[in-house]
Amino acid sequence: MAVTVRIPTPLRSLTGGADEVLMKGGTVSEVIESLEASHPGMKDRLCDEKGVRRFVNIYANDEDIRFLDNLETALKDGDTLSIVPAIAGGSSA
Amino acid sequence: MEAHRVLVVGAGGLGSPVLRALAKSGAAHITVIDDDLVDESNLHRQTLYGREDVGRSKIERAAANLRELAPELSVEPVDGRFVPSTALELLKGHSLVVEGADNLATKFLVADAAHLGAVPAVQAGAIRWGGWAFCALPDSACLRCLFEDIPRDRIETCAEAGVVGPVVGVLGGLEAAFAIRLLRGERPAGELWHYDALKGSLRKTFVRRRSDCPLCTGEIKDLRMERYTAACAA
Repeated sequence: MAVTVRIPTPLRSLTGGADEVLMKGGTVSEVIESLEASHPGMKDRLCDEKGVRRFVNIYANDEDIRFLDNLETALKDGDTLSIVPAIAGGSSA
Repeated sequence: MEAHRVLVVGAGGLGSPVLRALAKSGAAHITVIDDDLVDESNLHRQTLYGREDVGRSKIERAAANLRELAPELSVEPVDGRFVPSTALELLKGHSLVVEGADNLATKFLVADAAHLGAVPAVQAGAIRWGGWAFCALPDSACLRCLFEDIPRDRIETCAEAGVVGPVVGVLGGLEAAFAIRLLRGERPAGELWHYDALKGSLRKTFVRRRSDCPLCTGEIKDLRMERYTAACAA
C-alpha cells in the first residue's frame, strides 16, 4: 500500500528537501508511523498526545481528515496525503 | 465595485500586490494599517516601494504610491498595529478585510474580528517556497475551522525562515483575486489555495465549517487581548 505524502516547505528539512515521499500504510495513522520511521521527528511535528496538532491540517485526497475518520481514515494504493501547516509571513521580515 | 471600501492589514510582501491590484481595480477606498518602516531587504518582494522609500514609514509611502498609481482612490493610512482594542472599530464601514500580516496572532485576530464584524476576510501565509491563501465569509468556514488556534510552539515566521520574493507576490496576487471576486459579488467561501513554487503547483481545496469551531459556534464573542497575547507568549 503506497501513499504519496506531500511535504510542505517548513517540514522539508526532515525529508532531506523532498517535497513528496512515498510511504506505506493503510490508514493516516500508519502512514504517519512510516513517516516517523523514515524521517524521525515528523510525528512530533504533526501530532501531539490528542492527535493531529491543532495548527496542522492533513488532507486525504483533498478532503480534510477531520471530516473523514481522522487518523483512522483509510487509505488505498495511490492515494495522496497533503500536510498543510499554519504559517505566518507576509508583512515584514 | 465603486462603493467598496477595503481594509488591508499589513503593507508588506502580501499587502503590496493586494494594494496595487485593488487600487487599479475599482475599490473606492482603501484603509491600510502597518507600523513598520521600509527596509532595503524588503524591496525584492514588497513591490510597492522603491529605493527612495527606504527608512520611511510603510503606510505613508504606500499611501503616496497608491495615490500616484490611482489618483481617484481614497486612501487612509493608519500607522500602528492591528490590535484587539481597536480591531472592530477599524473594521467598521469596510466591505472586506485583506490580511497580509507576518504573525499568526494577527492572522487569528483578523479572522475573529472579521467574523464578529460580519465582514469577509481574505488571508494568506507564506514561508520559504510556498504558502496558502484563504477566503472566509461570515457564514462560511473561518481560519479557526482550518487551523483551530494560534500555534504555541515551533512555528517559524518568514522573518526566521525566510521567504522567496515571488512566493509572497503570487500569494498576494491570489489574495487580490479573492478580494476582486468578493467586490464583484462572488462568494469564494472557504476556498483554500495552496501554492508551491518549487513544484510549480497551485491546488484548490475547500475548508468546511467545523462543528466545534469556537468562532463559528459563537464561543468567541469578543476580542480579549489575552486570547492573542497568551498564545504568543506561550
